[in-house]
Order: sequence, then C-alpha cells, then structure tokens
Amino acid sequence: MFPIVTEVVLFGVRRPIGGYGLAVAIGVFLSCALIARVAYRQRLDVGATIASLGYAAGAGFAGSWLMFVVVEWARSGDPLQGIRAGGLVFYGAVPSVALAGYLSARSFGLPYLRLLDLSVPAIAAGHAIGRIGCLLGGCCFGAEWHGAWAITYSDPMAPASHPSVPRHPTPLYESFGLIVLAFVFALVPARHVGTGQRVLLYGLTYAVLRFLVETTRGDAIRGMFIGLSTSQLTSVALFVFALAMLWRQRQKVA
Amino acid sequence: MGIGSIVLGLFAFVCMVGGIVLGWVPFLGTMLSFLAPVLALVGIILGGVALSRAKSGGGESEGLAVGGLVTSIIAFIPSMLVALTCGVCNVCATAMYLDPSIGAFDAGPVHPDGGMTPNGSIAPPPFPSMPSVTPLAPSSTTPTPTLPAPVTPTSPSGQISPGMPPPPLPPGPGTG
Repeated sequence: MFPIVTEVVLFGVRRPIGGYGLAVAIGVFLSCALIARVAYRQRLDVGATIASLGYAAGAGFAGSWLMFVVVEWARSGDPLQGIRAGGLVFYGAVPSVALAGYLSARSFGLPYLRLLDLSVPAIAAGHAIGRIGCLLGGCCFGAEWHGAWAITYSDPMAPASHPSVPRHPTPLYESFGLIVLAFVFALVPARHVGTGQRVLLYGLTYAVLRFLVETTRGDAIRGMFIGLSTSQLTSVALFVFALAMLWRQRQKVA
Repeated sequence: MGIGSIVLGLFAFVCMVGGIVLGWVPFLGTMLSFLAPVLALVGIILGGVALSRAKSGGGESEGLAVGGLVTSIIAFIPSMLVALTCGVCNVCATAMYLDPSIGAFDAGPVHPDGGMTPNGSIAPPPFPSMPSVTPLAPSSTTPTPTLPAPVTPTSPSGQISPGMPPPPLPPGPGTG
C-alpha cells in the first residue's frame, strides 16, 4: 500500500504526505461539503451550518485523539504512551461531535435533529473515505488470511507489513459497508425527518457492521476486554443505546 | 469577522509551512503543525458566522465572509495533512528527544508501529540503521569469526529473565 503517497518540497526541505492523513482530510472535507449542500437545499442558514461543522470537526478530532490516548493508556499502562505515539479512534469522535454539533446548532438556531437526519449519507461517505486511509497507511489491518482477496502489505512503513503475510482487507470491508449504508440512506426516502430516527438507524446498522468487521481485524494493539475489542464493546453500547432510543420513540408515537 | 477569518486562514498557511520546514525541531514542529488546522478551523467558524450574519443583514460583508471561508477551507486541508504526517512525526521526534532509549532503535517516524501481531507478540520491523549482515562463505584461509556469547538479561533481583523486553515503539497512525 502507500503509507506515503507523495512528498512536498518547501525551501529545500522534503516532507512526506501520508496516505492516511490525505484520506482523512478528503473524508472530512467531503462530509462537510455534502452537509453544507444539504443545508443549502433545505434553505437552512448555510453560514451557521458551516460554523457548526467547524465546531463539530474540531471536537471530533479532539474526541478521537482523546479516545486514542485513553485506549493506549489502558493497553500499555503508560498515560503518556498515547500522547507520544499519536493516532485517532473513530468512536471517540461520536460523542464529541454529537455534543459540539448540538450545542453549536442550538446557539445558531439550527434544527439539529433535522440536519443530522439528512446528513447521514454524507457522514457515512466521509467515513468510508477515511477508512481508505487505513488501507493506504497499513493500520487497522486484518488478521492473517489466505483467501481469494487477501492482501499483503510489503511497505516496511506499514504496520501491517510486520509480519508481511496475506491478510483480510479489513479497512476495505468497512469502507464497502459504509458506502452501501450511504447509498441506502441516500436513496430510501427520508421519513420522520427531524425526529432523529434516521441517525439512530444509522447508529444501529453501523454498530452491527463494525462489530462484524472487528472479527476480521488482526492488530492486537487495541485493548481487549472479556474477549471483545474496545470497538466491539463500544458497538454493543451504541447498538443498545440506538435500539432503546428507537423503542422509546415508537412508544411515544403509539 | 470576515477579515478575522481571512487573517486566521493566512496564519494557518504560515504555521503549516513552519510545520513542514521545522518538522525536525522537537516541540516547535509539533506546535506549528497542530496549530495550523486549529487556526484554519477557527477561521472557518468565524467565516461561517460572518456569512450567516451577512445573509441576515447583520452588518457583515458577504464578500469578506466568503473570502475568509474560502481562505480558511483551502488552508485547512493541507494543514490537516501536515498535522497528521509532519506533526505526528514530530511527536515521535519529541518522544525520542525526551527518551533517548527510543532513539537507540532509530525507529523514529518511519516506523509507525511496533509490528504487533494477533497473538500480541512483537515483531520489530527491519530498521534501516541496522547493518546488513552478509553470510560468510566458509574458507580455509579466513578464520571463522567468533561471536561473543549472548548476554542474558537479568532482573534486579538476580533472576534470569526469559528475554529482552520489547522495544517501545509508537503504534500506527490510527487504531480506530
């Protein structure tokens, strides 16, 4: 794969540009651009939406980095390990983005749940591109597998190349699943928009997807508790939360 | 706010360039690399608020607001790239500066992971600084080099430990 996609030269200094960073940047930008377009088409305040997205993006990076630090701390026992290493955990972004989005939308007078419901395909599409970054960087890799579509990382800079054996293309599984989710949510007519039902349904389906994808992962770098990875435990929590909220909504309607 | 957004976008560009050029300097490279996307994000927020106020007749110039937004968004993407590559590299460089034992492996930013395998064992990557070993052909004229006996590490209590501890290498760019 391509942990380094290109190099930039500034004032004679050569610096690599990582595939992971490139994909994450494109994913975040695409998500935000699509959400701003949704706001424009819904005749919402585009400027306020962009400002909210700025808050949410900042909170998302902070939350996913904090989650990485916590996971690294739990894994290594060293509280500074995560700070020294640097990395992101997607699930850390979920509560921070939700909270920052809610607070900023409230302060700008934006319909938070309606915007969130309509943004589901954009969120899924951006996340799918971000996962391509894992494939390029060789992180979040799959377990050893010698099947038909196994991939072998050969670049020594890719964590997945130590050892360099055929593996499950785990980031591609998740990316493919997310693209399918993005298309399904984009094509299925939006009903009950503004109730948060669509975003809860997305949370439910993503939790299932992530739980299944995690079974093919081979990087034991994350914490494991009661036989489940931290992301699988988070998936279970997300599934239960989304299901409970959907059930509560149904009860209210009934 | 529109002007502030433009200024922040430009500052983000300056920090980004500083992050690239001074990426090898511990602490300073990190600060510049990570400050750039933060400034760009603040610029985007200010630009968005300015645009919102301009649309609602709040006394802001729509042109300046859009200009600030465009400048900040254009600054944000490369800034994030620099933060996630040069910035993370500099975190490793800073870690080596603080803990020279990490530098002894010459792992640095080019080995983003310790090579964790599914069973949790560590397979260190082939470090570029290690001298390559070429097998010597047995010859009657050249004496066979004798290697020193392997040193078995001992614990402070004097007990023989089963092996060397794994090298403290940083993990990959993302584990989520």
